[in-house]
Formats: sequence, structure tokens, C-alpha cells
Amino acid sequence: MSTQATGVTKTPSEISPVVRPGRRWPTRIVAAALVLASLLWVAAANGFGIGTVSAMLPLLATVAIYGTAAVGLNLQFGYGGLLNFGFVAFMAVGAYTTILLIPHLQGAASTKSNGLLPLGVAVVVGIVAAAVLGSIFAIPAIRLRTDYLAIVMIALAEVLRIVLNNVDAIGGGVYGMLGYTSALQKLRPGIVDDVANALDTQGSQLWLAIVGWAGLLLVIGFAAYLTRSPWGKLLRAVRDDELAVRSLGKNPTVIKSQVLMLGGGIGGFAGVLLAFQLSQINPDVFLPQVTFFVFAIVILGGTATTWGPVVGAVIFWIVLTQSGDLVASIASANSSAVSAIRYVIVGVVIVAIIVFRPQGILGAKENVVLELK
Amino acid sequence: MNSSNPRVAAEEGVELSHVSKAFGGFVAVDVDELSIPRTGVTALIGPNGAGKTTLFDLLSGFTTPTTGTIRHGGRDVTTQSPDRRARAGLVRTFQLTRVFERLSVIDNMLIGTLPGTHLRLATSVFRPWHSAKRQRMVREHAMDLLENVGLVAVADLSAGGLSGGQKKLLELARALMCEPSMLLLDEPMAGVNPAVRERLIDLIRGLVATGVGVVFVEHDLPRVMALADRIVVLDRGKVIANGPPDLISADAAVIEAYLGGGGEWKKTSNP
Repeated sequence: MSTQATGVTKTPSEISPVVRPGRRWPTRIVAAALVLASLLWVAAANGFGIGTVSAMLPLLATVAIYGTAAVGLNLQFGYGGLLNFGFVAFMAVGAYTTILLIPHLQGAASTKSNGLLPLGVAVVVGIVAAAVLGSIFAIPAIRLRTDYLAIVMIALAEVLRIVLNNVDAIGGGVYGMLGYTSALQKLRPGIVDDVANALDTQGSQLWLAIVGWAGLLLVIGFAAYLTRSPWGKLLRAVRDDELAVRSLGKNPTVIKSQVLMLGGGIGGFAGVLLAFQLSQINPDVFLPQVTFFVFAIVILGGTATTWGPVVGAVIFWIVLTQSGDLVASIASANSSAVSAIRYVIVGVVIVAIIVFRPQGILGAKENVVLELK
Repeated sequence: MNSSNPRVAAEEGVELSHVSKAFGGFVAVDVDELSIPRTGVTALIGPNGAGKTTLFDLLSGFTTPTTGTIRHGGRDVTTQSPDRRARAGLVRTFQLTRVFERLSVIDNMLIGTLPGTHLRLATSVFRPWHSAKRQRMVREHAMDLLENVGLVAVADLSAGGLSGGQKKLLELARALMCEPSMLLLDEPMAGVNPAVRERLIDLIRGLVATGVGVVFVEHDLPRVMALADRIVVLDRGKVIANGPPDLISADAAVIEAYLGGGGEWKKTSNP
């Protein structure tokens, strides 16, 4: 809380303008430079040759998938203040619902299932299912304080994963599902293959990256539109002071349920994209660590910013994937040690961000730092 | 005041019967019967710890009573949530201002808009034309209110940058966006400079003239006497006096002695 100054009436020149995170030019330039530098790192690792494209495409698809998830979490956590540690559950429900509805092979015996719906409809149903899960999660969780909400959410997500692991009838239990990617790849236009051939890479990889980035941009546009709308301002008001919102006749519980639903739907979409990248899914794809990857991305990029999820996703994944090669080239370590040390390096990057720039790359300090006057 | 039928006035206002609120073993409020009429200015006074803020919380629904019932406009609202009570016209402000510091002054005002309008998720997503029109009207109304409290010049600036007095004014103007029938102001004049205080008093008088009932907590007795139509005196959670200022001021000497820090407050007659 601020100090209650007495006996003063401030003139407009004494009052700061509203903080609009990520809209200051120096910040934007630094963010763009960091993204560019990360991409150049990948290119340099591939000798700037034509091989760069095929090395870059899976990475770009991963960035799009996790960026999309981060947009959903940013709505819940950045704008809504909900510490949702069970975000991965939305991704799981989106992925499972969609894949169950399209042709796939399932379980230990690879039982063939012909699918019920065309891909587009199945994706929409998957998103809706994840959104519905969000509103179901909201019932027990929404009345809790943030820290307790986090605990309940992580527990609910784990319950869901363990149930999926043990019920063979839904998605084949531990064996999961596979053989469904053709539903997406058969929609690939011929021109994508032509371009892929010219770039000496695979059409399926290029198509997934294109679909992923189209989805990411769509979701960013939707989130930006929503957060600038009157409802978005109400959402921020709920984050900042629920009691004051109540005193003005609005029910914060409703707003929080709505944002769990919307962010959940976006998370479900990210889960579908993830399933198509992995080409086979099982419950252990959706371990709690996925939630924390997405949190790391949101925090790196800057909470409550429009482009933070993209900036965060690029830097997170490039540091994670490239630092391993870097370490391997410097010290002759074995592959499992290299794979472990990548996470150490990502951890160091996150700690450095928290210490030196707690608001993330694009964020505004006012959104994260306690004012201790 | 005495000429009108108190029953009719009470029906439209807030009535408490046998209301108590205990925190553990400590009884903060213990009111047998208290009715606050819907119109006019009611002042709530009493020493620190008398239960004024707890009573405010009970009236506005921010806390539920341990025993007893609260009625608003003739309906039982004992367990009704604060947001529903605000929608029914019972709107409060806080002793320590609660403005949305990271939003602009005008956005603070727009959060106070009546529900069922542009703040809804569906309207925000689809933005039908009538919503845009409605939003413009709401904005104009908000600017008019800001004009009244002298905050137009800072409408687009960060509410967190306002001075304490300006935040009080913003909170009052924001509460008015809800179109309250009864406004509960918790120490609206504390920490406010004299010029702003005059503005607040004028505003309250203006509101009362348009039929809005005002209940406020205040420590400065001359100001209370000048502004209030009736005064409710609380001590240790109990209503020890309740009536028009002249009746209360009959005990002025006692009150002075009391507020000066001396001794017990003598029980006065309940009108």
C-alpha cells in the first residue's frame, strides 16, 4: 500500500503516466536484439549453412507450442494473478480429447481407432474440453488464496495424469496413442513441400512450424484484444484488489473462473500442437515440469505483456537446446551429463533474470516488485 | 426527522436486529436494534476500537455477523455477499483507500460501472454496437464525476501516483459510478487537506440533495454536528446513543470529556 500523503494535491505533472509494460522502445529493442542473437546462435552452430533451416524448424515449432501455452498462462498468472501450477492439465485434456476424436492407434496392442470427427472440429472440441476443465478446476480452487490455489492445481493436474496412466480405456494408459499425425499432415498444401525441398528440409516439419506460428499469432492477437478490453481491465483490477472490486458490485470469483476457462482453452490448443509435434503421446508427456517450463517462459519474457510469451519461449528453448552443444564442445562430457547441465544453465539464466531484471525482458517493474516505502 | 413515520423510513434503509460480531472471545459489535434510514446523513462516531469499521463491514457484507439479522430495503441480507449488496445500492468506501494503483484514474472509474454492461466477457469479446455507444455514455458520465471531484486533468494518469486526498476523492467518485442508493464512507475526511475536505463536504451535501443516503465515520465532532442529520454513537461495540445532533449535543460536555481522553461515556437515552 502506498503512503497516505496529507495536505497535498498533486498536479498532473507530478503524477506518473500509467505503466504500459513492453511498450517502451528501449525495452523493445533489447528484446528484439536478444531474440535475434538467439537465432544467430542456432545459425552459427550450424555453420550458417542450408542445414540451419532443418535444425531451426523443430525449434521454431517448439517455440510456437510453448509460446501458445505461455499466452494462456500469462492470461491466468500475469493478468489474473492466479498461480496455476497445474497448467499442464489443460494441455493434456486438449491433446487427449482431440487425438481421441481423430484416427489413431491406441494402447499396448496398437488398437486402431477410426476417429469420429474431422481434425478442425476435433481441435475445437479439445479446446472446449480444456476450457470446461478450467471451469471445473475453478470450483474448488478459486476461493483459495494464491499459494493454496497453486497447491490444489498441481494436485489436480497430477491426479489427472495418474488416472490417465492407469485407465487403459482412455487413450491407452501408459502406452498412450500414436499414428495420428497424418490427420494434420494430409492437409499440407503442395507448395509447402516445394519450399521444403528448396530449403533441403522436410515438408512435415515446415508445415507444423507454419501451423504452430499461425496458431501462436492468432492466440496473441486474441489475448491482446481481450486484455485491452474493459473486461481485461476488470481482470487486472481483480488481480490488484479483490475487495475493492467486490465493493463496486462485481464478483471476482466469476472473473477468475472466466480467465481459468479462457487460459485453459488456450493451453488445450497448445497441448494439441504439442501432440502433433511429438507424434505419440502418453500421460508422462504431461509431467509437472511442463508447467514450470511455461512459467519460466512467462517470467523470462515478462508477465502481463503481449509479446513476452514469444520472447520468453525463443530464449528459453534456444538456451536449453544450444547450451548442451556449447558445453559438449568446451568440455568432453558424456551425453547424459550434457543433458543435465542444460537445465543448470537455464536455471542460472532464470536466477539472473530474477535478480537483475525481475520483471522479465519486456515486463514492467511495477508488476512484480513490492513497493516497500 | 421526528415527524416522519420511522417505520417507513426504516423499511427502505438498513435494519440490524440483535446483531453481534465476535472475533474469538472478543465481541467487536453487539447491537440490539439499529435502523439507519435510507435518506439523509447518518454519522457513526465513537472512540478507537468502538467497532465502527466492523459495523461498516457488517452493513456492506464484508463480514457476516455471529448472531442476528441484517435487513436492507426490507429484505434479509445477513449472508448476502458484498458485491450483491453493492449491486442493490449499498456501496462503501474504505478507511485506507483502495484504488487500483496500476490502472489509470478513468479506468478506475469504469471498473465501478454498473454490472451487466461492457465489463462482461461476452460484450468485451464481441463488442456489439450498442455496447460501444453505452461505453461512450459511461465514459462521459465518469468524466463528469471526475470534473466534480477535480480530477479531470489527471484522468489518463496512473491512479497510484495520486496524493492521499486525491485517492479519497477518486474512491468516492468511483463509488458513485455504481449509482448507490446508500453510500457508506469510512473516514472520508481523514488525512485530507482543508480545500479537498470542503469539496468532499459539498459533494456529500449535493448527493444527499439528490436522494442518496450517506453513512459516514468521522472523528471531528464539530464537523459531524454540522453535516449529520442523525448521529449513532458506538462504544465497545454497543450503540450508546442514537438521534439527531441536538439531542446528542445535549451530552456534548460528556462527549468532549470523553474524546479528550477522560473517563467513561455515560449512557444516554435512546430516542
